[in-house]
Amino acid sequence: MLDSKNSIGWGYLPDEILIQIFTFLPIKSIIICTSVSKTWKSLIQNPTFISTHLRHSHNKNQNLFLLSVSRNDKQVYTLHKEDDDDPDFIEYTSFDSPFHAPHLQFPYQRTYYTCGTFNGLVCVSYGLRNRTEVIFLWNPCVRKFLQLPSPDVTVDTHGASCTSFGFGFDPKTNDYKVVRILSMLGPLYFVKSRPVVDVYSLSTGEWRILSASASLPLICAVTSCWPPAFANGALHWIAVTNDKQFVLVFDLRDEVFRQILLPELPGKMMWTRLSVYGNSIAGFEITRGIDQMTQINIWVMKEYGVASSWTPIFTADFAFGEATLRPIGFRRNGDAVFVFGEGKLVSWNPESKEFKDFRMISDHDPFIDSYIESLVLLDKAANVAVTY
Amino acid sequence: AIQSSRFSCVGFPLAYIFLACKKKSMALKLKSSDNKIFEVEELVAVQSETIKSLVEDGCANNVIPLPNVDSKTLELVLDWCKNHVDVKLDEEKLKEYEDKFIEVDLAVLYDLLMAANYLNIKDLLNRASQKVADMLKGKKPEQIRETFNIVNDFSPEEEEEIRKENLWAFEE
Repeated sequence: MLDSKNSIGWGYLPDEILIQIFTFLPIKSIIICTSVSKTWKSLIQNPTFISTHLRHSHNKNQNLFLLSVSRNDKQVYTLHKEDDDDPDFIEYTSFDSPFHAPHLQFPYQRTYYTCGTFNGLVCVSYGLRNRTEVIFLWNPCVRKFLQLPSPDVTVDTHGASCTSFGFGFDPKTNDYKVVRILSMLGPLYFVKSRPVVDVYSLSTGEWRILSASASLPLICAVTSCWPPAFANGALHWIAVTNDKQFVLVFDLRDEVFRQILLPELPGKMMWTRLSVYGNSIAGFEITRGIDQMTQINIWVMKEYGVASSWTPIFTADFAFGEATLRPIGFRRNGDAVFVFGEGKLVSWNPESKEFKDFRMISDHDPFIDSYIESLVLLDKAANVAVTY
Repeated sequence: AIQSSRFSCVGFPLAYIFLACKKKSMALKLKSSDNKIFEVEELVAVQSETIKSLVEDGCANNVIPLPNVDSKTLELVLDWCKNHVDVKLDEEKLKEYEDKFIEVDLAVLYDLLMAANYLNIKDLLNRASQKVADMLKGKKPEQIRETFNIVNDFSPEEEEEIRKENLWAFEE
């Protein structure tokens, strides 16, 4: 039996105890708790609680991985638990993409691309690969997403450009940012000037043009439309200046650009994309030669920021007609993940040099990255973020 | 006066703690809200961060009053602390102890939460919070309110709006 003290007590537990209790709940139960009382609702839909919950989520070390796969012709994101003792890639849960609702469907060829994930938020773009039309920030755990406003810089204001954008987190201001690099194209698609850079911040909900791009080399472009790699609080693109490729680093904390040298590749081989590799980055080179041979190289930067630490870890040649491998990222243990042939997902261990079949079919443009469950966006009002 | 209080609160006990450390443990006296005195080993009591900082500030040489904890709760809390100071207990046994310890009725659980929070005993606060979370899990809002006697201060419209916005979470 409850005595009179306790029968009123539970509703008035100190905030810090309630917060402590809520952090032990699965996300679904946390959302149910928002409808118990006004006190509980305002305590949960609150940036402080969302940060506390995130910290707990980090400490739980669940080692989750997000993977975009194709299932019955639908794009599905699966979440996998990666255990050291269990080498299998066990599916933990899955999220249907909300971006296939009829009102969002556009003409063929345009499609959804996953650009990155951090703290449970997933950045998804829609359009052609190099011509993004809409960008979304989506938290599948709380089933909320928001559509970014249209940027001020467009073809009309600045002329034709090749656009690449990236998503990351600025720990200094606790803010999520989307960065666009627009490499301005002149006649015959030659790069004619410095790129224009604009940044969207989730906290302000606005785009702003960045003056820091003035520090970039005069003729410089990000020509690859692959999303950049977010590591060490910075986004990393492959950029080119005077026929030389380099890693263009954009630090989200100070919003400054830096450069890291890329290892020289023999002949006409070019770096295709970068990927996160632990706390550092890796470079993929995929060349289709005129002889129809495909060559793949993977280098990892063992020590972040130290150009001399670039180390080749994988190389393969494929003859014409052979099913080829396409590197897409890394698992937490350092195994490289590839798409083999039509869409079979495999991982490769650098020590044993052995491949392992995930027994899963990837989607058209697979995305893989470590993931963390969070409540980010839960404090956003209904007119800012859509709940589905 | 400041001089002398600094002497009694900092200077003297520092030496005292040093001696105490050499002896491994000394006894502390804790007084519950209902004026019962509990004599406990320092090693047991300092699992409470609150008591630990009192000891470190040298304010623990007399009886430590704990006006927010009654004797019934303090006895339980001290039992928890005793079992967590004993490094001989293996992980499995400790878990067994914790699971049994936390099987209490709601009123006691409430007191334990409040005491663990006031005395700042992390593992006890975590375990008690986990227990409450387990009770919340899978329950409907009205069941939660009933179990914990929480007043619904939403209007029916407001409640319906929250439910509608997050329909997925409220579906069976």
